[in-house]
Amino acid sequence: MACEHCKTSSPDEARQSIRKRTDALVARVGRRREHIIPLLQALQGEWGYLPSDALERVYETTDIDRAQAISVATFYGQFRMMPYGRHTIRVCCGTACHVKGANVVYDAFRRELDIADDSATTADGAYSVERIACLGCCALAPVVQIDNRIFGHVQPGRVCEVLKEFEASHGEAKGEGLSDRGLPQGEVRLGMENCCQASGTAAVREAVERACRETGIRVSIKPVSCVGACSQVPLIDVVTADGQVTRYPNIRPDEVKEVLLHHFRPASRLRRLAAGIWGTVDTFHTDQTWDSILYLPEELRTRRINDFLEGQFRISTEGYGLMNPLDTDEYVRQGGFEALRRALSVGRQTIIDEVMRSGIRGRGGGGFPTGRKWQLVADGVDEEKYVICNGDEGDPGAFMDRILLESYPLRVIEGLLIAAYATGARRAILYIRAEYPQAVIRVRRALEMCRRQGYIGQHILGSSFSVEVSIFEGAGAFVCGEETALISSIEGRRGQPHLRPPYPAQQGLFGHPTLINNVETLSQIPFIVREGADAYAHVGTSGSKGTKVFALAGKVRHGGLIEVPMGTTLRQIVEEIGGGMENGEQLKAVQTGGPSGGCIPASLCDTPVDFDALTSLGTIMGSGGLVVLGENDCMVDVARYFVAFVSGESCGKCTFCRVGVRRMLDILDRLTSGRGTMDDIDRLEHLALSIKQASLCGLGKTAPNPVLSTLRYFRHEYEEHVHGSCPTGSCRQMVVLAVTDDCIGCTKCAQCCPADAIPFTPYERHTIDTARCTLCGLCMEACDFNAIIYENKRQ
Amino acid sequence: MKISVNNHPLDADPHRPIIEALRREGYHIPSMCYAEGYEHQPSCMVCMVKDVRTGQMIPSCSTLPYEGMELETDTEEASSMRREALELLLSDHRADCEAPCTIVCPRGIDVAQVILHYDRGDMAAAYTLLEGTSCDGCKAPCEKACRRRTVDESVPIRRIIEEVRNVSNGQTSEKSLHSDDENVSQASPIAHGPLFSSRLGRFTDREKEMLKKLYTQSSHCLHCACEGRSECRLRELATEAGIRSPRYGVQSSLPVKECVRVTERLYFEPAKCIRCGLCVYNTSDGFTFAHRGFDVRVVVPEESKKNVHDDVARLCPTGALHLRILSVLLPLLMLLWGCQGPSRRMSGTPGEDVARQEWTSFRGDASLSGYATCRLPDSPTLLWEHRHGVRTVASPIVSKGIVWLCDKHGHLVGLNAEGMPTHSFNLNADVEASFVMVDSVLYVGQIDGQIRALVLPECTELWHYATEGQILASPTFVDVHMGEGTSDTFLLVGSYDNNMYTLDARTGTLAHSYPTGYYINGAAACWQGAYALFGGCDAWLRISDIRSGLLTDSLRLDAYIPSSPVVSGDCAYVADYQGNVYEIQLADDGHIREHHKICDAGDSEGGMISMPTVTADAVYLLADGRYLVCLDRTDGHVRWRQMLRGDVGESSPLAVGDRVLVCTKTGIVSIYDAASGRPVWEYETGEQIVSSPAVVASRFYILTARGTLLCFGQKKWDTLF
Repeated sequence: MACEHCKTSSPDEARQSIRKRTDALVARVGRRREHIIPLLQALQGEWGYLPSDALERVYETTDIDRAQAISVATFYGQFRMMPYGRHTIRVCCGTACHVKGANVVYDAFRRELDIADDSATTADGAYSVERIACLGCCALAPVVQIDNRIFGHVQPGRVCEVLKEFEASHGEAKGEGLSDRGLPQGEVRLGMENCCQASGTAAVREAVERACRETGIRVSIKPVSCVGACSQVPLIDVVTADGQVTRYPNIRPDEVKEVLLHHFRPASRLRRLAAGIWGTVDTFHTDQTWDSILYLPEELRTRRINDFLEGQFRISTEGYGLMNPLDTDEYVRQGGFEALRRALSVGRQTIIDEVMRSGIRGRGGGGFPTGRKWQLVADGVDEEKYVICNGDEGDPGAFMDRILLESYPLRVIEGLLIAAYATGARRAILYIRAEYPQAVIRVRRALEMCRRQGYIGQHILGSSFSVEVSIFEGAGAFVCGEETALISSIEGRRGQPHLRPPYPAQQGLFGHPTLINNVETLSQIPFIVREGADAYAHVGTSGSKGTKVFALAGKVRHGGLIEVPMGTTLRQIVEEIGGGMENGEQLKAVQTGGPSGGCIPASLCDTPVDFDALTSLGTIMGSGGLVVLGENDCMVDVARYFVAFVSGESCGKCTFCRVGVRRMLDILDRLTSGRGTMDDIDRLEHLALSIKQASLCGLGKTAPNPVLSTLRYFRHEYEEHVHGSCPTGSCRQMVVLAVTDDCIGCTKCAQCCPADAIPFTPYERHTIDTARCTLCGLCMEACDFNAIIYENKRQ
Repeated sequence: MKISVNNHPLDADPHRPIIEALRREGYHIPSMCYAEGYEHQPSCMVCMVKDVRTGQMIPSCSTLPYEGMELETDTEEASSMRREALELLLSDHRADCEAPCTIVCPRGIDVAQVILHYDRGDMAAAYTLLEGTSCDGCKAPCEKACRRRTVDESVPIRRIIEEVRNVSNGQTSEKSLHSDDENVSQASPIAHGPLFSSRLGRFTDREKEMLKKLYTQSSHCLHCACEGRSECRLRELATEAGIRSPRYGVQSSLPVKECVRVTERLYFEPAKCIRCGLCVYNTSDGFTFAHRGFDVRVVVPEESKKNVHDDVARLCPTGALHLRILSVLLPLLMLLWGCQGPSRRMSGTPGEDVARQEWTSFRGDASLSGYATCRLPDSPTLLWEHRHGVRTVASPIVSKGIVWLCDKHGHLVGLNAEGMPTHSFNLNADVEASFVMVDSVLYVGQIDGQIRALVLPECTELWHYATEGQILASPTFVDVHMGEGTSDTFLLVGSYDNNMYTLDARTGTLAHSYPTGYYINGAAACWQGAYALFGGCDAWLRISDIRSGLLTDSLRLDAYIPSSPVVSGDCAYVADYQGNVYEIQLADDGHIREHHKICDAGDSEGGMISMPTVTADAVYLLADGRYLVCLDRTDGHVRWRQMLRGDVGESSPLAVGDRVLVCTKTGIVSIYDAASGRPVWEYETGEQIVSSPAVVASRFYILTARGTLLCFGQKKWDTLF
């Protein structure tokens, strides 16, 4: 139980204590109706759920009434009315994780923890398991978060191991402990984003610290902004006193000490001697030493990462792998806040004109010219104006905004300040998604530092410009990425979009003109203002200027965060930057734009990527998730996945989105379970077109895109499903697992089967009892002879 | 502001939505979520028109005009989009417009309405609807079509119509019968009319179970027909669009036939709601949306119901919100309260409800047998306790998820499943007798001799009846067959003025009373829903016919009877103060066929002030001061005998499934295996216990004499809160 207190005292006392603690939270957060989301978040932070007594107290002491609390608490995915287990396991179901088998992982956790069908929590109350839309660590798919720790590449077979690892660490996430010491002997740089930590950088960091203690080498450990090469982590850069940088990708913790000894001299003679002796002895008595990363030639060691980094162009992610995300001095040394200074000196209109001339378009998905938006808000006559940075990146398969906020918070803040100055806003809000706790922590610290150094507050940099910046944490609703829904949510209401016009630029937050820009858009602004519109417009295509940050994930060999000039082709991205397909699969399609986008078939992957080209292909740029799909991915299943996602995330206001999307899902469910008819395909297309045309907001209008684009390019796959076969075996209701003649009867599969569906028959070809089989796929992994395959049910 | 509609110029107010201008000009624009002059948000999308300039379909109810706007309202595209919206709404609308019985009636009787009047007791209105039409020779397709038939069995429609005819025959002159069936069937507008009729579809097994519990009035009717059908805009527009059956079928996540009483007259049926939000936007802290996406639904929190006005029903475009005419009969009112039907408490057979949620009297039912078929938790743990702190003698009861206790000073407390006090009332009189709660009415006897019926949740008094002596025993609520399928409810209560009273449970009027020779200390047990068995301090056990109040038989015992008799099957058991326990076999007419002692005080050491507990094959007694004894009912031999820790007292044991739950006066609660007598579980409360436990599915409640209520159950995360 969340509250230890309840166990020991009488219900009456427990209630009193809840009321008292609630009062304290209310006093801290506020009592107006718009405070409801932060208030509920505070209550949930205190108890792990929303206790009814605490809510009663809220009704008594604040302007919030029962109706509002119920409507808000049930709308946002974050809030729970029931106590959860002591630890929460969140299985990411983002696109990349989905195609890599997130559902099987979810089932595996439930099975391993023996959770009853109607419950989310183990009988002893230790763990609760839930699915989550996307954790934004797509390159590590399948990803699982236990409390605040991220685990990457969690295959169903590793579930047990992950739980053990978590328990061994006592469930504590390691603190960050950013150090900002100088350069005693040298420096070790490593990325400390959430995803890097999950893939082993945390262990490497510990190894560096241990090695320093043992050898007495004095190096400073510098957490730096994300390099983006998620397949190459743990990655460290060793910087010696003379400034020379050596890069070690994929380093193991046991190699760290040797690398350090290679670059630095231990502190004392004695230690040097000891290190020398042990090094020599080691060389002879283990064979591990010879595979060490040190002995790899430079070319071999860093070729992949160099390929990955080549062809990229850095605007938003300038200073990758180099800058401490939270060091303002360093940011200023690299040219930070220069743009803000320039803006303050040249005046509002000049800046707006400059942004207009640069041709930058909104990176959130719509592609509306940013300059025009700014002008609209600047023209508003209201005294009170707002600027909001939209960091509610909910698309499964996208994590650009998270990395930008975690790695380059100062750049985003600078962009936000310039926007506030240009539009005349006095209040700026960073709306950050609840699922990104690390981003919230970093941005909060960055804001504190900026405030201390006079970049935020009254009379910024000695000018007459004053602005207050605050953070608003989203509460788990994808639809809040839509700007009118985002405003509703800040105002303390359900995240339901409104009909536009009026546009937020005319009548937004609390009825005042409001500028809403995406994180990435704002992070490009400092470059435009500093280097000039022409320098920016020089990059990109005629209709789409500048660069675009993409989250590259799926069946690509080297996924990660990339920034490329507009107009780069998808094939370049997949083949050159991503290093081609994983496991030698054939490229089938690239999914862009998340649930609002569509699938571009391999044959059209030579199209240069820009807003207009993608729209003409039936998809959208979206916020920038690129999920690479291979020949083993079923397009009907992918379409169903997105429609199911939108169906759960729709706000439920207008008929077409609420009921229509659900009916699309019903039809897709029929198709993916082999019960579909040809009529269903036509009905699906008709319905999709109606929804596209008649929905109220962007979410509904774009929700049919995954269906329409797959129907357009992969209609034959739909037809195959009607005829009863799913060629890729992705649609689990249509396939069974079968054993081929390659089976030698080794019993490995029988041993690992959690459902006892494979009888233990040594030296005989195994059989699978399809009635018992849960299609978890553990046997396929266990089989060394690839003798277990998916087979269509009807064959 | 000039705009153009279908290529005709139109002048529109720039600050008002275009639908107003369009309608004023006579364009027919359907809408559901819009009501002129009221707060609204575009949601239904049936008012779509096309903005030619942008090529977008826009909701006309919320879009403001702009200079040079060009609209198309009557194109194929616009009307097909509106039709699509309607069909989508209908696919999430799980309700019958008309009841199947009415639709199929070949003689055009509005059968559903007749049954509705019948259930409300308005026979005259029901009779008028029949218009003298005869059912003679009809094969009763109504009963075949009846929705109830898919749940269990059809409503006895023919019998009801016959009854209506008979009852009203004397008052209304019968019109001449229609002999020509053909003519009548053509006259029925519903059977062959052009109106769209939405269909409820099939019930799932779970829904069937729920409906069985919900709709238990004598007709069994589910009342399928929508009460708002005559003013339903969804039906009107679907008819207009020529929709016969919705293209996407009907699949809804909303609970079918669930009906919430919002105010005295206002009812809300979620399954008919199209989530337009008019009721939400136009009440403050009343209706609200909950959840999101397809699962979004309109709810009204219990505590916010007071903020809702009846007027809001006018805004609802469907029959989801409707006003009901006040019913004349109280029982039906009770029935609609929270949509829970009265659970029939017939005496004679032990409680049959395996998943029982109610424990409405001190022994669970009117047979007083103390046997319940539900299961005790395997390893009970204390889930919570509530310390009331005032001496309490009456046993706790459980009704509608609330456990009630009443202390000696008449302070009545209701606690919810988490042990939080949710209700508190002061009866302003001392209370020692246990009380009964049936359909939100509390019946309690007080030390000052009054019997009161109080209506919850406000605890307003329904009636009271004064006796001349203190009341120490629980009243017994019985539902008695009065012949011809009707039944009446009575309250049996004994007083220290030596009388056994039989009162009409609805009105509190005295049906009859029976004078005995001395105080009555125990409650009456009811046998076969017709006979009352009661003992008294004059040592006589009496059996009376509840309908007539006449004694049918009596039996003098060896000593006075301090507790109550119990009934199981055709046998009654009663204990006297010396410790003799008698088994009495009853004959159909209320006579004693045979009686004998199954336990003789000769070989015991003390009296018996608790009641025997009887299951199908065994009798459990607290005997000899500190023993729990199990006797075989077939031959009377002792199956097992267990010494209890502590002295026994008034608290009688309960047989629950295959376990026996017993509390000693010393304060120890224990559970024994019924078959072997093996102790299974024990808990020491440290306080005296004189009341009987209350048992509901998976939980049981023990109340000590110091007013501490303990709730035991299986520790489970989801049931805990």
